[in-house]
Amino acid sequence: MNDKTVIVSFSLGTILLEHFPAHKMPLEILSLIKYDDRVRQFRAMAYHYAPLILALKAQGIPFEDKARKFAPLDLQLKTNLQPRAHQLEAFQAWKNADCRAVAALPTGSGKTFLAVMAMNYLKRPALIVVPTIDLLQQWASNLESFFQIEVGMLGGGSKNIQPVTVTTYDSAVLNMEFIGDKFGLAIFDECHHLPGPVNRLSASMCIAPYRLGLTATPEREDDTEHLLWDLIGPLACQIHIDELEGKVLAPYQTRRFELELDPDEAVEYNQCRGIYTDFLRRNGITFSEKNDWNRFLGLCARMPDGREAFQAYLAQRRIARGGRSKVRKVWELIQNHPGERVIIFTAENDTAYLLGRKFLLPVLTHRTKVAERKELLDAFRIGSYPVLITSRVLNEGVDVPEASVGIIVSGSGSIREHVQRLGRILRAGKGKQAVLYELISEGTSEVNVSRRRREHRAYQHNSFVRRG
Amino acid sequence: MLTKDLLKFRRSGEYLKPFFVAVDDSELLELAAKLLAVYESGAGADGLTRSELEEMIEPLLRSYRDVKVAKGFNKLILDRTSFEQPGDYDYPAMRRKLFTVSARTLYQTNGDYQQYSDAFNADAELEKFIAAGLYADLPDNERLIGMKKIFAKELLERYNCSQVQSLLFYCSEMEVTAGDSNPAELRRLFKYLKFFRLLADITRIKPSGKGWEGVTAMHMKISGPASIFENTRKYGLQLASFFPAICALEKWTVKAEIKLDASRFRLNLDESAGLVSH
Repeated sequence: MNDKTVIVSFSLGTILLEHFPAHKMPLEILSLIKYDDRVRQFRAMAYHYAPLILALKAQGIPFEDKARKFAPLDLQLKTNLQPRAHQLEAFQAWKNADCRAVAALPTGSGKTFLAVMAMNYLKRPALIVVPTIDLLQQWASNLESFFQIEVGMLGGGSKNIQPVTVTTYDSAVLNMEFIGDKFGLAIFDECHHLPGPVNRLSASMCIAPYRLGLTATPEREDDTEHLLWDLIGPLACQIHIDELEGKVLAPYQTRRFELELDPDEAVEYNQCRGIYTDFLRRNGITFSEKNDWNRFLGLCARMPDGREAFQAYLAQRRIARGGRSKVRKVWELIQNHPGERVIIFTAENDTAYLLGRKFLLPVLTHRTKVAERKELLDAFRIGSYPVLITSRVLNEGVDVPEASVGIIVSGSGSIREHVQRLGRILRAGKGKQAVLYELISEGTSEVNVSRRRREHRAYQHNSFVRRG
Repeated sequence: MLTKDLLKFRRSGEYLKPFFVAVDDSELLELAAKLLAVYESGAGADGLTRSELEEMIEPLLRSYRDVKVAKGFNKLILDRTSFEQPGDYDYPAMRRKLFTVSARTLYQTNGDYQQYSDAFNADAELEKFIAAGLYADLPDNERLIGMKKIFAKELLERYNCSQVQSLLFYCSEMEVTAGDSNPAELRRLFKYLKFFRLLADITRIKPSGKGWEGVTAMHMKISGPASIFENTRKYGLQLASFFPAICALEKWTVKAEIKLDASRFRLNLDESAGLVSH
């Protein structure tokens, strides 16, 4: 009996294999496929496209590849920029791993250029997946200037797909079943986002044989890094912040100010804090369990004194995060750095807008519309706006090259968030000394948050406390 | 669709029973009518702002003994509305003008804040803009310009259907028995299955249960293409959107496993739930 030609096709984020001779296949290939009764064919996840094709070739089985919808692309690098040593090192490591690998580089070390080197080397249609709309625009305009081509954008209101396209994780998950066959190279920026139960589909539903993952922090708090190695490839190289400091990244200092609350605010804080913690104690909420926050909100809605407790919670948090002494300090610090670019971080929108209204300075939050967001970032980048106030939107990877002063007015304790924030101001400049200020309200719960924040290795030097 | 905090259900053992309102409950019909009236009368070229609406809606929501139900109604209405930004200023352009002044003045007053903020009063237009609120175009200030009409009773029916759909959002697979004396209705079901890009394991069955006599019926296990590899919530939205096509049939049962936070529940429903398709 003659073997029929195997037909490999792409179907809604998976691979269908018609006439697949499973009996001839080695075990490691069989573990990648499953018989799907619903369509009476073998099926595989799209990201196993490359090993399946290689196995068919190795076994000398005739096949027709209807899955791949991409061809080599005429991609010309239009820059004289030379790779720096660590970029070359990372590029080689990625090539040695068959162009399927994760590179861990600190923010500000030129991850984009590493991606550009990979794209220029492979010359295949490429999809770049990023976590935020800001990064989407930033990558698109960077790639446009590197290659002088039209770069597609998918997400944030745009739906323009080109051989080189940038998309967000959210949009990638929604669209991969329609576009997962169009790209030979998939690049995952800030790829520690990938292992999430939904995000991971942006990698698994795509056939791209070549993959590159970029991140500053491959460690995940839930220990799911192995999914990264499975979906992208092994960790090929890891470079730490302190290895680069002074060479590529500007030297930086951290300074911490513990500020006393104004007397009337201190009274109000203690009063509200008392009502809030008393409510917690009476209802046995310790915030030691993940569910406790929801329980707290539920009780606030149900209990007769819940509304008061919730108002008290908001008030004490507002005072600790944005009390008048902090507002005065922010003004003083801005005034201490004329001619420099100052970026101010807050934990929530209200504090950001409070400072923005007070000082009549630009505020960027997730509520800022896309067009204005780009305008504000561009103006800050070229220096026509010296100060930018932002809540959490800029927490990750957004390139603000000229910022040399950071002020953390208030923030949460997450270690990752803080490293990403550090990355923002650690930019190479001529003899530039970057400074990161942290403002803490003395005698409030913020003191603990700050301690947790500083436990990370990026913070364990050069730090001293000043009384304000 | 309802958000997670608006889901209402009872747990009994591993089973989960969605909460349904009685669609002829006069108190609820009145609540729905009142809410709809606020939105209907508040919509228009000079419609209410989000925060004005919230202020008017808030007491209505709290007037009903079960706030969650009232909020659910409100969410379903909001899903049918459209809002527009205030048009009194070109906000981005005015801010651009303002920030140009602030960038120029910031370091010109030797750190004197009062002198700095006074500098903006030199321009009457800017002064007015600052007083009006330089970020007044935030979502809170958007105006209601329109709402897709719906009757109070329809809203109650939608609410019940939404409770099921919003739970199905958290499932990865649905087991369905579908029956109708009109085979064309079943063909319509397949059309929707295809439309929502779902796949099904289908077996024709000879039903024997009460009420199933003379009914063309089949058993279907519905999920998405990639489901055979991984229980994924990716298809939850598609499964939820498909549900109204099922409850349009004469006879049906649905079984699904709902994964909410860390817990798993079973959801079993049939046509006796009295759900109305849309």
